[in-house]
Amino acid sequence: MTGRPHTAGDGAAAPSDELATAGLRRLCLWLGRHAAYDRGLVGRLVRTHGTFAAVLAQPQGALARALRPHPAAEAVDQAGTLVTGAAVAAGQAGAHEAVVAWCDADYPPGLRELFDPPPVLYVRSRQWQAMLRALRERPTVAVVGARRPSPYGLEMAWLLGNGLARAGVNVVSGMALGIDAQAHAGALDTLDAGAALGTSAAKSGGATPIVLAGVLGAGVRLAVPRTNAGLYASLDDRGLLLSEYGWLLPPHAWHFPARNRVIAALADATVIVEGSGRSGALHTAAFAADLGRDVLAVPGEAGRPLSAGPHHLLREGAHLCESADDVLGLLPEGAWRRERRGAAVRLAEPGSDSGDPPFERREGPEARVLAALCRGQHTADQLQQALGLAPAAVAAALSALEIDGLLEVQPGGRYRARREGREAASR
Amino acid sequence: MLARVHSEALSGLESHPVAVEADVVPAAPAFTIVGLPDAAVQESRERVRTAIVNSRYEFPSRRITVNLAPADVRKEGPAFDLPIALALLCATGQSRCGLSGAAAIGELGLDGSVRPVSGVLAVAQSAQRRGLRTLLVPDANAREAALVAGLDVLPAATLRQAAALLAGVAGAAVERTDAERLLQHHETADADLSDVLGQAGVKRVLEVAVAGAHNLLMVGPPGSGKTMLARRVPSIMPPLSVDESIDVTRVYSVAGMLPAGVSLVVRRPFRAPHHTISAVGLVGGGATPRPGEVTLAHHGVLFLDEFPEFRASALEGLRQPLEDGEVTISRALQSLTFPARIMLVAAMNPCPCGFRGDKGRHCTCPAHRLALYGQRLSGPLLDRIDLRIDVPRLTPRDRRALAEGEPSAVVRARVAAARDRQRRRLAACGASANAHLSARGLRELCVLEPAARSELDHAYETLHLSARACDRVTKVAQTIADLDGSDTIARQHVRESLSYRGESWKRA
Repeated sequence: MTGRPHTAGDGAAAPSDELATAGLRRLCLWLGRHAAYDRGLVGRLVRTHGTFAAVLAQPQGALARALRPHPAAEAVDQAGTLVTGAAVAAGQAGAHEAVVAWCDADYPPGLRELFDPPPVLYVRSRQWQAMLRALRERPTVAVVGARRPSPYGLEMAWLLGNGLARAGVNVVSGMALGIDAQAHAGALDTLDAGAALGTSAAKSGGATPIVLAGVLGAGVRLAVPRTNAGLYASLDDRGLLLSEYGWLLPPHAWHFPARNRVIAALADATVIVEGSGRSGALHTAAFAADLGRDVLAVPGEAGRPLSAGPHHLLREGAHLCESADDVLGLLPEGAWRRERRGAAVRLAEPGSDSGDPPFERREGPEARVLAALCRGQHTADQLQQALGLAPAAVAAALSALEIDGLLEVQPGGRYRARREGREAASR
Repeated sequence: MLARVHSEALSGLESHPVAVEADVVPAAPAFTIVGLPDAAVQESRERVRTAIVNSRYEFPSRRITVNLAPADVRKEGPAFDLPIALALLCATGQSRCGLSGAAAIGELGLDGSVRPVSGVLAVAQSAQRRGLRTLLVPDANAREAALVAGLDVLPAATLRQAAALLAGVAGAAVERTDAERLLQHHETADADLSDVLGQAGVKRVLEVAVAGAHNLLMVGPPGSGKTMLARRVPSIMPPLSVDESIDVTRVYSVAGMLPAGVSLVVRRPFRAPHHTISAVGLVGGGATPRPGEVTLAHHGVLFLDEFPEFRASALEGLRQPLEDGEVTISRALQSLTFPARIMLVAAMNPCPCGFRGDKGRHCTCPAHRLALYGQRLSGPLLDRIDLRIDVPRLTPRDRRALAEGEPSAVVRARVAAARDRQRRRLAACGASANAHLSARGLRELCVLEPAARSELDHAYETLHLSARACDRVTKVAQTIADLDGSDTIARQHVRESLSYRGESWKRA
């Protein structure tokens, strides 16, 4: 499979229209290069001309008058050729790379619904054509959230990414630290488990692969932020990396909100895991809502700053998301689902408020502490008060549970039951 | 004519004898002091001259030479005023030295009064050990010096009195200060543990820390009560013994920090230096070495708030005192050892902004600053801190619901019982508390029950403990067993100990 973009995607246009198509594609590439430097360029043009299709119907000279002059973008122009050029936004596509223009058949259809769609997408993947096809054939869910989440948020993001991929859903996110990275990590885990079992999801041949797509706010060859270099390498290998900002363009602050609209448009549903009241994830949710897509929010603990974003969305009418099942229920029926039916697992157990269930092996203070933890996060002090135990007994019980991996200690001296703990408590 | 009066010079917490010789010859009037005197000793010429005149003695208008022997040791401070004046009076025949085996120290005022000096207790102790029988001291220091048994302490309020005492014509030694009585008749501490609402878990950890003399690190957001809790640590420590209180008094006396009218420090010291303190200020030193905060906290608590904000050099300087219970300061001319058997209580925020992990507030620290914050404390220093705990902030609702908890006296009784058990068990290896156990002592003297041992092995693997962390957990478990009145370490003790190893703040 070659990544040369010089031929338009599989039969995008009839041979007779070949010349016109090539012209259209050239215009898209030109516009895309400038849009990477010129904030809101496409939006301005669409407002003037009505639709993006109408924009493309204009001659390049007319569009050029709307440009804000930018030295780097002009250098690209002067270099002349289609995708080669001096500036970082241009350059030849390498192996496993491609430039997908708005007019190409490979262009994700969801993005066409945007008011200001990216004129081009720069794509990196070992099997980008199969991946782009899968984006059309399978439903896609975006999981986004805080860059510095709580352990609870991390766990939920991982479980959602994992469960969605297991059910055969594409997972798209923004490659940021925190929730984004964790959702991808969860989905990658499913993929790797599938590869080990030899299931169809991992086979690159016949079946449509499950896409783990990362949308970047910088050039698609840049692993930004550096902390996520490992994730970048994994997605490069087994997923799909997308950017509208060329190959090597460094990130700019305004790229990220713009990137969020691409995430929202790629996905059929968007899940927000954690975020403060002014989190970028809320932008993604707003874009998704504007596009008429489903928005889901994972509830957090009341009163925590990181719960403000999701709770705001829930108040505004977002769907409640406790597990991957809640997302799957909103997605349309289709072949993808039959293939995967029953694979999704119930992730979060309902609260175990019904007293202290009998545990195997675990009894006395440990069982009571675990049951209390399942009802929320607690400090040692709160546990001691609620259960009427001696501080020493609480400390000992917490250690015993930690050794067995049923709870985790969070910064600030708060304890939280892990999934294994919640399962043990409800058993 | 030549006269000699004995005195004492302070060096660190010890003193050594100095002979003050005065010679008066009929020659052109002059007043010279030789024998490595420092500026304060040189100035004593003016004080001595005026004090002698104002005491209605005659100041000789002849050539006066004063020698402080041995001549190769530096002499400092104003405590030689009195012996110089007395030697001069003897040399001019206005008084005489009628006491044998006596020494005098004291500063003179211009009116002939004798003013208190620092370090009198240290002088009295080492002088008595060397066989001195009588010490002439300023009136205000008399009761402090009288703590030493086997030494006659003669108090002088004026130069005239001092001269009369030296001649042996008047006065009697002061009554010996009864340290035991002083220790019994006072409150152990002004702050009580029951003042702190809630935080029962943290109070339990304080109890364990004091019972085993373990150092403690509290991690918590601002306003969680770390300082309030730390200030109450001395209140649950066993009361000072007579020897301990004399040790502490000696340090405070040398540092010149004994308040006027106080002859004995009866409360355990609580020192809380600010985090801008220099390394010398914290561990002691200087051109003429003086005790630092670790020594001032001897037998008490050294509380370091904002632990990572202290200078790295100051914190690393703590390693020796935490390990050995003393500080050795070596300078070109001398090497001194100060005692520093302290309990370190350190407190820090979980992150630079202070709100990491807090329920109500959002942490605004960028990831790289968080990583740096954790690295500021070196591994070797943290290894000497057995207990590390998180102190969560209480919500107002939590606080209203809380009961007072036990008063310090109740906790102190349990601590004392645990310390007794330790002393009996550790008598063989020379350590006085579990925290001071060597790795070898730990193996030989701490008996883990089989269930406890397997629990520790299990934890070693699942919680990724280091070997050092395992040793710390065992030490603390031993203290918990001591508090429990158990001879062996049970599984329950290991478990409780494990939850006080607090590594959570280091995780990024």
